[in-house]
Amino acid sequence: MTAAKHHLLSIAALLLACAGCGPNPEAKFEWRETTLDLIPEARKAVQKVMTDHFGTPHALVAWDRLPVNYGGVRGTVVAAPEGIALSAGQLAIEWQGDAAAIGPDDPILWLSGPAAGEDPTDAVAQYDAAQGLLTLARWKGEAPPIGAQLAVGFGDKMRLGRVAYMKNCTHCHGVAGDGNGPTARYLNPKPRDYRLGIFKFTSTNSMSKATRDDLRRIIREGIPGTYMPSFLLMKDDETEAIIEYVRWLAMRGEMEKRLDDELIGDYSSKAIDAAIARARSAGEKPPSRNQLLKQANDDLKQFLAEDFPGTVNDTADMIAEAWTQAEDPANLVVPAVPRVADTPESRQRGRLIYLSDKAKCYTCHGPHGRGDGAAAEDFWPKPGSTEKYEQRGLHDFWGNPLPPRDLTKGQYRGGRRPIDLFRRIHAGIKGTPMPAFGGTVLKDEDIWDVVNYVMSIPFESSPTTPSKPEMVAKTAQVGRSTP
Amino acid sequence: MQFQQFHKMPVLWGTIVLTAMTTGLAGCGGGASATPTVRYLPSRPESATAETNAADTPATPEAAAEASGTGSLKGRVVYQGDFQPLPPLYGKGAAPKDTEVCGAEAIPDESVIVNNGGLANVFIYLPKAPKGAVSPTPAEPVIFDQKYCVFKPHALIVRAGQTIKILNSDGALHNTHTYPTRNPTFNQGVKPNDQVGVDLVYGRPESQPFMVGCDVHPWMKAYHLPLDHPFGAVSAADGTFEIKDLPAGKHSFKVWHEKGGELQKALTVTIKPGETTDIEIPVAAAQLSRREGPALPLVQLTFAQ
Repeated sequence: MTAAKHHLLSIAALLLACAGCGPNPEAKFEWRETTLDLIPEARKAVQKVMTDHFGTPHALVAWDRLPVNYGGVRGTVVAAPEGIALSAGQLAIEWQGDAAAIGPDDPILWLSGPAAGEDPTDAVAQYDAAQGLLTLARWKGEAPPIGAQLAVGFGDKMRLGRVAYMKNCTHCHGVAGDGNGPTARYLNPKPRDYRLGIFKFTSTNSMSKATRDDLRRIIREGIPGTYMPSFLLMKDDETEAIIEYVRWLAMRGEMEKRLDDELIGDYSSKAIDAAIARARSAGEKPPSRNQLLKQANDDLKQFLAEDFPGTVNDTADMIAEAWTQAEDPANLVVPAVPRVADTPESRQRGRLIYLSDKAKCYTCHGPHGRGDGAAAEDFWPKPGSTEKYEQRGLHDFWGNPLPPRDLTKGQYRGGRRPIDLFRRIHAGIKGTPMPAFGGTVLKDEDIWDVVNYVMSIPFESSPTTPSKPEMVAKTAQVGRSTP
Repeated sequence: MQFQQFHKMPVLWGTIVLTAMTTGLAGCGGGASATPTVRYLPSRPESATAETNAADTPATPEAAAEASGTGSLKGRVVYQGDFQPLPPLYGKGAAPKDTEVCGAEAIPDESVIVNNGGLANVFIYLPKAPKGAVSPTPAEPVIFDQKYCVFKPHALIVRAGQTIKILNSDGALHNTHTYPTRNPTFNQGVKPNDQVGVDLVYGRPESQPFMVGCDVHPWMKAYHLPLDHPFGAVSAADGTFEIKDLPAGKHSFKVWHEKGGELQKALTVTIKPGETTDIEIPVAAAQLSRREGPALPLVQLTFAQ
């Protein structure tokens, strides 16, 4: 190669290096539209609470109030076991969790005691697992008192979760878990927006959130019939870290939404527009926007001083409690009786329940299970307003059109084990019109009959025969006009 | 000449290029894959500021002076304008679903009900419990029924923590689906002719009434409002309402109607001990303008069992 050619190549490489690798856009948690609609002072208040308690994608805040496992091992300083004299910088620790992996240089964060802080201030010099004796690397001054709490390797899981989430999940679910990653616009169904704190397919009762096991199942198995793939090949520690990070994103998102909900009625552009419209409709001269904004700002000052801190506490408690409760085995849907034998009789009983006035499965799923029930042709009211959706058919809580599942396909998004179908019927599907039938409407035996019937639908003699015309929605009589 | 010297230093060039590329690559990875920092935030509640502020702003002097004793608020919501009763959503026997059950009576349009000039189903309530007013949550449940595919009652105030018994007096399945803001949503089927009922408890008070619907019968609508105090009422069929045992002093009520939204944000009323304060709340017809048009013809589902 001649020197000149070499030069050209080098320059080309240099150019490439510069052009291809300009600074990446900084990852950030986008604000909800409802946050951005708040009047400036209210918006700042919400954004401050969110940033103080959750941080940014690059500087995360691990709020201990939330039931999230941020990683590391926690322990409490205890008195030295009998017959052991502690050397300088050595502590006897009672661990809560597995301390076997602790090794030299692991960072130590003091959670309580005189050295308590937000960041690690010490590190492990040596750990004697047999005796549970920890030697501090940067020992100075007085010994930490008995009862002081520390964490070794705090935040490890969250760091890994954030990195693994960004690598595997952000494309669809977005940095903030808003279901609005760069790929999302090309997808139908839409990726889940975690920020309502709602996950559809859970093993818990109708009022509870998802468990870690539920999220693990979705990540490992994927969701058939959607773009959610199986991540079975991902390393276990990454999967576990992502589960915690997704739970944390869901809590973060729900916090922002609930704070917005508290403020939006009085302190948003929408509220000011509504006040003007209200005055107009009452036949009064509407006040100017500036007047209203000034009034809102004055009221807001009082609200922020008196009520807002309490609201923040209350909201955080509610979210923490809900996620803690979801992990309580008492809230799992566990059938009271084992699966009823899958016999023709059971299927027939299930079919009759499916078609009965008691369960009315056919109103949505259609008399043949083709997802073509009459509900799919109705115009439905938008919750929280007096308007109706523009599009016919059912919608989910996120506002997306949601056709009832076509049961002839044998493809079940929440899992195809009989227990998965049992739970869908017993507890309903969260964030959708599918109600809970368990407990009162159907006995557990009945639900198993329905499960047996539903699982037999794809294998009925002619599953591709369309429902008879008189049995499905007569769309012709209402035409296709919009509401 | 200098250029020629450069020629002789391919090694240096290579180093520069490599450095640039490495830097460039590092820049590429710098966004999403860079390891973040994690800062520990203890779970201490944010009560410090709230307490100081509460101490700084004691109750207003007149409120403090009149803090003893209670009074009542009586009133009427008056509809201003000519009112033509709304035609039923569906006439008798015309209900598009479960006609045998839902069509037994005409299904009324309950969005605006006016009798003798009084507007019904208006929520009048204190958004916050007055300071120092504590009253236990009633132990007896509230009944929320469904008859001929209409929710009964249409507008309901309940105490947070109080049980609502959802009954079904129809021979068809209903499902009660709530859309609250601070409470978890509830979506539970209620079996035909269920007179034992399904229990629903709102753990938290809400700041505004919210919709309750039934996904089987799209026209069915009701509004619930859980409060953490007893100072709220729904105007009766003739627009009248009464709130008893209010602590004496100044109060700001919210006035809300499903068609008008928040009609009044802060209706100020002074309650004197041992007395009943009478008020009239005027509502202009135009204020109830959140229109949704006539009921849509729903599709029929005929089907032989």
